[in-house]
Amino acid sequence: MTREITDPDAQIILEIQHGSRDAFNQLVRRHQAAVRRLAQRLIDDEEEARDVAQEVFVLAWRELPRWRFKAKFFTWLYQTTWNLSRGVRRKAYRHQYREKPPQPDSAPSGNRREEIITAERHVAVRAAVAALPERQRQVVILRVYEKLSVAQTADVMKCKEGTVKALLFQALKKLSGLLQTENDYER
Amino acid sequence: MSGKHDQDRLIAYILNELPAEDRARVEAHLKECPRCRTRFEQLSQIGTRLNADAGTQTDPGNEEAFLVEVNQRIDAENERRPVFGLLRRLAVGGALVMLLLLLLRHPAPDAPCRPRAPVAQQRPDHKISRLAKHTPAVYPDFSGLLERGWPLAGKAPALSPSPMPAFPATPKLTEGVSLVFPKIKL
Ligand SMILES: [Zn+2]
Repeated sequence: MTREITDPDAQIILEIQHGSRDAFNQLVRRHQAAVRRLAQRLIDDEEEARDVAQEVFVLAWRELPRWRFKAKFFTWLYQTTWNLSRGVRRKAYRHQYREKPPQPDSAPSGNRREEIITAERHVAVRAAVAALPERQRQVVILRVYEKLSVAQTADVMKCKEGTVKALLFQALKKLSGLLQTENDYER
Repeated sequence: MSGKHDQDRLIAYILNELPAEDRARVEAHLKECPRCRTRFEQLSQIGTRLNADAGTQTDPGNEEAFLVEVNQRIDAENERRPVFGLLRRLAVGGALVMLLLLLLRHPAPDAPCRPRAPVAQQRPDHKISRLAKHTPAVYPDFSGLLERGWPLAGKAPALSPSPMPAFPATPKLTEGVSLVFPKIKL
């Protein structure tokens, strides 16, 4: 069964296919925040994330003349950002795993202490997400962090909506296990 | 979750994705269903923590400089590409001609194929695989042969009288040492 693709970017892509650089710039303006945010989430280094995000749009400029409207453009953007970030990301997450929030010399008090605890908890959550198997991690990042719907996530991950739901459930269960262990250590 | 234990709806509830009406329905079910309550307790904490962490990243927003940089990269690539395209076509053409010449000048099938000197003698040290490095070289010394220049000098030797020594007995292969055919330069 073929699905009807209604892409909100279709009109703009047609203009790009007729050679309009202005239309392309409009497309970049429309999507750059999402691409940069995802790249930043996957890559520790801000400069590298920016570089990857730009590369995604350079690739888009190259690909769009041949675009056949078989998928939504944003789906392609997320897939490409994910793929380009992958090699860089592994390195970054290894680094993140070792990374600890700054430790003060003397025992902090009041708000500062709260801040440190919160920062530590965020690092722990990210490390736990990083420790998930690839597909589970992808579903958590797209669904929970990027707030994509189940259908959008399924499109990006090229799987069924049921698979997205199942993967998310598995991921949450695994994460709660991982972070439970961490809580036990804290005690 | 009306009546049944709807795991997907429970997750949507935890991720704050449900409209008020559905939320109320989930909450009512949680009150009466210990099984879903246990699952909820198990997952809600991680849901809250993930949501909190997701909220910490500031939106990079729209940035004109980003757009300018993307355009610069595209322009730079457009300038490079025609040259690369031409070079690539030349390279492919050259490779085809070389292949054709190679096929035409290939020695007769019964001509001896000589193994190259052992890897360890040819490559800079850092390029030798660890295995090859620690494997004693078992080949006879071909260096004299190579010094005479064939096949590097560009002209294949006449078959008779042969300037080549008799082909040495096949060396016993040891793990890690590979037989490589000589590169023929035309
Ligand atoms: Zn239930």
